Parts: sequence; structure tokens; C-alpha cells
Amino acid sequence: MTNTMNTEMQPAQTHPARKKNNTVKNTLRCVIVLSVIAIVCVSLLAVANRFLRVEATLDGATAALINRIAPTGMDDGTALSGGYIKMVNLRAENYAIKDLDAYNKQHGTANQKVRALYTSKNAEGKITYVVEAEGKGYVDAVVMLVAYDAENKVSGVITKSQNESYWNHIKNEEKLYAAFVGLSGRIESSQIAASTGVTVMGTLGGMTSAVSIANDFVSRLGGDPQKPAPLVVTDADLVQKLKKVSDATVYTCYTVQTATVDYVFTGNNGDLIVQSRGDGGTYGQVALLVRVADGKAVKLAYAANPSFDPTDEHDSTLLKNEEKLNELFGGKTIAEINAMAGDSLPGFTGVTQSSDGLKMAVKNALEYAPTFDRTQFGEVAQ
Amino acid sequence: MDVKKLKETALGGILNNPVFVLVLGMCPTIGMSTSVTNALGLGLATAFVLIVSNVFVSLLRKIIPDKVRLPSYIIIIATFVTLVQLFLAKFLPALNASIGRFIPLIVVNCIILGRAEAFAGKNSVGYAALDGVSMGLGFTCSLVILGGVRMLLIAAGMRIFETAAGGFIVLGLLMALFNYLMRLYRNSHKRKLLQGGAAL
Repeated sequence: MTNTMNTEMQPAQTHPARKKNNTVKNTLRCVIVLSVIAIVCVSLLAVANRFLRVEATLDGATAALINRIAPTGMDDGTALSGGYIKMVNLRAENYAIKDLDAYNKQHGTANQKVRALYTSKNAEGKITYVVEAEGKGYVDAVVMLVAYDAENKVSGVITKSQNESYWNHIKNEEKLYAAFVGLSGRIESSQIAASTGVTVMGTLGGMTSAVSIANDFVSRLGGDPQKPAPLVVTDADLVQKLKKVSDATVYTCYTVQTATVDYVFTGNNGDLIVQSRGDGGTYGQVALLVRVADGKAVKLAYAANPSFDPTDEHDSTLLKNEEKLNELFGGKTIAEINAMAGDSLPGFTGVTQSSDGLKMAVKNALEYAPTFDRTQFGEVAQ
Repeated sequence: MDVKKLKETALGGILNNPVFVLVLGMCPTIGMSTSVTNALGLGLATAFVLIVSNVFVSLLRKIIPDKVRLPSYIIIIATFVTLVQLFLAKFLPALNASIGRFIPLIVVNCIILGRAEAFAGKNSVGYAALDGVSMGLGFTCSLVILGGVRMLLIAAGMRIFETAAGGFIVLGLLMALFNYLMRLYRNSHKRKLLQGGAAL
């Protein structure tokens, strides 16, 4: 009986090898289906991420936040529409960093990157740099706006966006932002937590990551960002000297400080005056004010502090006679100046080095004038 | 086409309302119903994910092995939730700033996974899509009603309704009212059927 039952039961039992085969087959099927679904979904998201990528833009809300940490002294609307707050196009301007993506690839991480650079200019022409950067918080990216002083130290911080679950655990945001002021370089979240008592470390980590990479970005930015903002000339002596070459009533001074040009002045009548230098050999550098128009040195005067030896009789003859200076160089182009005698100037002898210095100063002014771009000094292009 | 099933599916959003009857998705319901705008935004985002994920779950129901159906559903739902978030961040940044933190939670919203498991995984694409539309709109309408009532109460100076506790109080009252109305409707419907039977 038992034997019969066993014989009858045999076909109903699955052979162990076949059972094992089925298990492997089913498992493999599960793995393949899940993998295919995952691959398709990831591909779809990759494509979507490419087309739906959010580029940083300077909108009204961002401008209002920038106006809080780097005040322009005017209302948010005017600050944005008047171009006092603007987004910097790194490729178009003279910064060491030309490409944000390349910077982020090299110095950022998947959780920490710089999104944009802005400038904020106040009524006195002082320009403040503001970096928009993000760091991974507890939930998602915490986007911060960080303003800097002239020494690249944080002068203001504010949060642009965040999706943190425990954001309301930060009881005093202003106190938290104030803890960042004056810092530079890498900032640890424990450093800020210790001084503020904030306990949401994931969120704080996102904020410090964002500010840290913004600090790094500013320190590497280089180029022209440290150029002082243009200023209206108020020094009476300087105005007097500028009036010798221009009929304008108000002058704005741009500090250039290249190897050959110190300053550029613009008059309210559109005049462009370049304060340039030339090497006067053993007599030092000569500095001239040259009004330039249409590639010609229209009018010239000696600059505030010519360093030629005033006791030298030969130099004094030439360098104290502005009428003669204008007679020699007035209305001349670079080509015409190059054609002048190399060792001296017509009518003057024994002042070869001084002559060369003067010619060089005028040429430097003529060469620099066409390249002068006031937007590099934070001014809005007219 | 099964007209009865079609009608039941189309009215699912009311008869089996996800918020007032099934009591699903309570976290976003309470969290985002402090204003009508937020409620509408989150409701529509959830509805979109619900419709699309229902369609895809239904399409793949014969391919996905039973053992891995839940992880598969989660991957599909998470993909569409991420798409919604990317879309909001790109085109509706203000709304994203307001409801953004609740968008990722749609992935684990019981309504979506529940409908995928209970309905879309067992029915054809057409029915699954219709169920998604019905349930999605039912959820959106519930959120908007809840948001509207809370807004009115908050505007009247009752600040407690800004809090989660206030949200639960309003939800409980609305739930009671909704179920009372549904019972009245069902009873009148039954009565009509009985009267029809007696006439015969």
C-alpha cells in the first residue's frame, strides 16, 4: 500500500534539479525586469534633467535678497532695473575663472557647487561681489547668496532657497547668518553650530558647504574683481589739472593701474582722459594727462606727481612747458609719434631720455584708450 | 465595454475618495492644505503622477514578476515624481518654493502605491487611466476644499487652523460631513431601487 502510494506520488513531486532551475530562472527574470525598468527610468530622467535644468537667473526675488546683504541704497525694483544689481557673465569679462561648469567640475562635488556670480553697486560706486552657491542639506540643496568685502571675507549671507524639513528648528536666522560674517576659506558646520547653537546639522552642513565653495570660488576668481569702483573726482587740484585738457565740469576717475596707465578720467561731456606713464630713464617716470579722441592725443598736461627731477635744467625746460608739450604731441596719432626723432624732440637737445619718456607716455595713452571699457568697473553699459 | 465597471471607476474619486473615505495621503493633506493655491498645486502634481504611473503599471503588469512588483512600482512612481519636480523647478519656481518639500513625498503617498497595487496592476490601461483621473481629481478636490475651509478659518482670526492640529480638526469635520452626505445619497439610491422593485 505504502509502495503504491509512493509510486503514485512520484509524478506530482518536482524534480529538485528542475525546481532549482525554475528558481534561478525566476530570480533572473526578476533581476532583468527590474534592471530594464531602472535603466529606462534613469535614461528618461537624464534626458529630462538636460532639458529641464534650472539655470541661475537674476529675478526680482534674487535681486531683493542681494539688496539685503549687499545694499545698493535704493529699492529692490530700481536696483534691478537700473542695473545696480547684475549677473556677471564670466566668459565676457576679465576674470581668472571663465567657465562655471569647468570650475565646478574641478573644485566642486555632486553636493557642492557655485551657481552664479552677481555684483551689487551702491550710489557711491562701491561694488560688492555676491556668489550664489549650493550645498547638500538634510533633504535637498540649500542655495545661499554670499556677499564679500574687499578682502574676500564674507560680509553677508542669506538663503535663497531650501527644502529642509527642519528649517523651522533654526530659531534665529539672522544670528545664524551673522556667524558667517568675517569668515573666509573652508567653514565647518561645527564651527557655526558652536557659536549659534543651531542643532540641525544636516541643514547647517548644506549651508557651510555652500559658503565654503563660494569662498573658494571668490579666492580663485582673480582678474579684475578688486578694481576699485569709479569715483567722482573731488580733489580741487586734480580737477584743476583735468580742466587743462577738458572742458567738462564733472570728472569720474577709474583706477586702472596697469604697467603703463594709472587712471582713466571721463568727463560729463564725454571726454576721455588717460593718465599714462613713460620711462624717463635715469630721471624716472613721467606721468601725463592725455585727452584722447579718434585715436589722437587732443590735449595734454602734466599729471599730478611727475617724478622727473625738477632740478634738472633740461628736463625743466621741457617738462614745465605744457604749451610746448601740446605743440609737440597735440593732434598726433601713434604712427605720427613713432615717426618723430628717436633720440630727442624737435627744438630740444640733451633731453633724450626725457623725450623718450614723454613719447612713451603719449603712446601708452593712445594705445590704452580704445581698450577702455567702463563696464569692467561695474558700470552698466550705456 | 463593461458600463458598470466604467461607471464605478469614474466615480471612484467620489465614492472611494482617497482623503475622506480611504484616509490615504494624510501627510501632504495636512501639510499643504493651509492655502488653496498650495493645495491645488500639490493635488494636480499628485494627480499627474497617479495617472501616468497607473498607465505604466497597467502596461507592464504582465511583464513585472509578482515578487518584484512593489520595487518596480516605486521606481516608476519615483521617476514621474522627479519629472514633476524638475518641471516645477524650471517653469513654476514660486510654486516649487512653496510646495517643493512635499513633492518628493508623493513617491510614498499611499494613494499612488495603493491604486497601482489595488487597481492598475489588475486592470487594462484604459481603466487604469480613468482610475488615475478619478482618484487624482478626487484627491485634488478634497485638498482644495480642505485648504479653502482652513483659509477661511485662518482669515477669521483662528490661527490654530494653521497648525497640523487645526488641520486634523477640519479634516475630521469635513470627513464626517462627507460620509453623512454619502450615506444620504446611498440610502436614497437604495430607496429608489426598492421602490422600483415594488412597482414591478
